[in-house]
Amino acid sequence: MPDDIARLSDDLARDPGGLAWVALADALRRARRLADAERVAVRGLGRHPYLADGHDVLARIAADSGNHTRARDEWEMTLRLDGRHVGAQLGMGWLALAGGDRASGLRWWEEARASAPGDPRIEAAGRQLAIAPAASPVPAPSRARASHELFDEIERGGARLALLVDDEGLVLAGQALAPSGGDRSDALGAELSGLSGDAGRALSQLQLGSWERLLVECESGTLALGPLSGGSRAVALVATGAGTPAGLPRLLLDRARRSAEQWLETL
Amino acid sequence: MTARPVVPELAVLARMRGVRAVLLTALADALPIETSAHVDVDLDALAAFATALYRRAHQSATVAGVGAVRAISLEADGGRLAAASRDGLLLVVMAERETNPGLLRLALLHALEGLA
Repeated sequence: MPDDIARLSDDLARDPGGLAWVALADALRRARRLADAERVAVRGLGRHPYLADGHDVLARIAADSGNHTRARDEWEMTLRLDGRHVGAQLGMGWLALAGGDRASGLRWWEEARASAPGDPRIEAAGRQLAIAPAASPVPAPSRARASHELFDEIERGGARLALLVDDEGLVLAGQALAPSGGDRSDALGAELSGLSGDAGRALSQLQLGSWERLLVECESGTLALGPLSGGSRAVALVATGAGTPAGLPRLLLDRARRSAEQWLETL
Repeated sequence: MTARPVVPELAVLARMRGVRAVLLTALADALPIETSAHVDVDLDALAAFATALYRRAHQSATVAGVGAVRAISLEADGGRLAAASRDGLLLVVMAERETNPGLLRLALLHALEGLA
């Protein structure tokens, strides 16, 4: 698979205006490099916004990331562009099954079979459907994870603190405790709102597109923050201590964003 | 007589693959002091926005209790912006998205060390 990725990356580099990005994004998805896959797909769709296969691959990336809302949006867009797109029909069926709606799953599968009889993907989906129970195979959590527990794993992974803040600077999850024990979450949340606003304005003015991450290296630690994907306008922050390897804050931030996106969906 | 550049490494940094602009500015007034950039880069805007972002990052770092800011790196789907400061001066680099962030960071910090 790394060979596929390298080959497809070369193809894309040779022809940046071509469509190799669709296969590259899918190969990255299959390699579980979901952030890279999403970046390739989003950039490709920037050049080819009406490519049904492009929206289909972005939907699969979203589904693998656990973001079913975004996956549905992208598959619906795929079907608006190509009403007989088998990948999107099967994707919608998969979402229905994941939500426990076997009847809708069956309807989508029948539509896919009508669109492309004999397609091996349809047979495989049919086998999934046959063994799916009538009740939800992917039950929704009985309750959302408590907001203060959301980033426990991120903190165990080396973060000193992690916060999720909405676009108005209000804390949604996580906690920032001062060494004295005082809680400075609200103050930091308010600051982050201003910082993310400045980042967005700078990029807009300099025509650098939409922001992905901001890393702030300081004397005694590093702050890493970035917006969540999908429709949310919230921002996640991870702080690591001094001496942390330079790549770790980025990694922890990406994990924190994935956790936050999944958590927001359960609310 | 040729004036000695304030940042001797500025030209080296500007020649790095993917770098579109390098500039030195003052944190106090955000006016460009020394620059090297592609023709389509608005250097005044770059200096102003990078300085504003750096100052704001400093405020956030203070609240977070992580000390003074050494460098910032902003990644976007259309490019990168990195900046580091020393003695009230801010060295800013704008580069393509594909530019290696590790190399860019090292080159920026190295150039800053050579600040005259």
